[in-house]
Amino acid sequence: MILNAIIEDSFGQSDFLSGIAELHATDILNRGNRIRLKSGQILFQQGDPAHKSFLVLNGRLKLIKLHEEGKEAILRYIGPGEMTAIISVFKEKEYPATAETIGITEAVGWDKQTMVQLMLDYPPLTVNMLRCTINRLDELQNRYLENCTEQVEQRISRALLRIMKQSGRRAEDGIHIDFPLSRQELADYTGTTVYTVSRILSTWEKKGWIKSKREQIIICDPHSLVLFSEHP
Amino acid sequence: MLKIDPETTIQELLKQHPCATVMFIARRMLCVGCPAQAFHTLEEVARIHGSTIDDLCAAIRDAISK
Repeated sequence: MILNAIIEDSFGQSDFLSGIAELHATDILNRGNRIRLKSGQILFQQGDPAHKSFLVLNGRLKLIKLHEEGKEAILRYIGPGEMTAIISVFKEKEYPATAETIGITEAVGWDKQTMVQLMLDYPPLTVNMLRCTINRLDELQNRYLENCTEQVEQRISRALLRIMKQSGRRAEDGIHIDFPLSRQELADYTGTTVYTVSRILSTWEKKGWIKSKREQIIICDPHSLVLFSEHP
Repeated sequence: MLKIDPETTIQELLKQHPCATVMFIARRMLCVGCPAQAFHTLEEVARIHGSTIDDLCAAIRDAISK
């Protein structure tokens, strides 16, 4: 069955489906709606009523929040095996951000009623969703503290390391961040300007910590970057 | 003697042998919880932290046997 292949390929280690038998996982996925989007398409728009939560099967989503004066903040990237819009659907509110695809993206969406029923049918799913939500909260708390208390260089180094951990791919010359990430996006993600990001990335490139061409960032020396982010 | 593959990543090692954590901490190595855990091999980590791979493997074996 194609669905099983997707489960295997995309996320043998998916947190969302961890500890759930394949038969049940298939049922969970089948009770949602599959959607396939091209690169740069919008899965949901900030401000629209939040009817569905989504699990990314493959591809990636960028969550963008627009604030006053039209500035964009990138809240998070959602990769294969990760969920989004759980809170807004449960709270029956609007989507707090816009989800845009990076590369061809396949996802499954469930409405609130179906999700609640699935959680009753499969208690391990509920545990997994709770764990995911707690991890997200933890990450947000840390990032908030970083924003308030830390220098911008540390914020950027931690952001890069976070993204590397989530979407890194090992290669000869270092760990590649496996999707196009522009300086503007990095600035939006860390709450600073593209000028600051460019200046800092250039410094790190001279030190040999990273390599960056166009929108591709390669972490050549993660150890130095980690030391830098821990000890300013 | 327990065979330790220098090409093992830190993540794999800690999954197989959680007790090795103590060794990293005692040696003041930042590997536990490091974002590069899934990518760095024992060989690389030894080099980065200024020891030899044999030295590191011996320390790991020692921690596992306790």
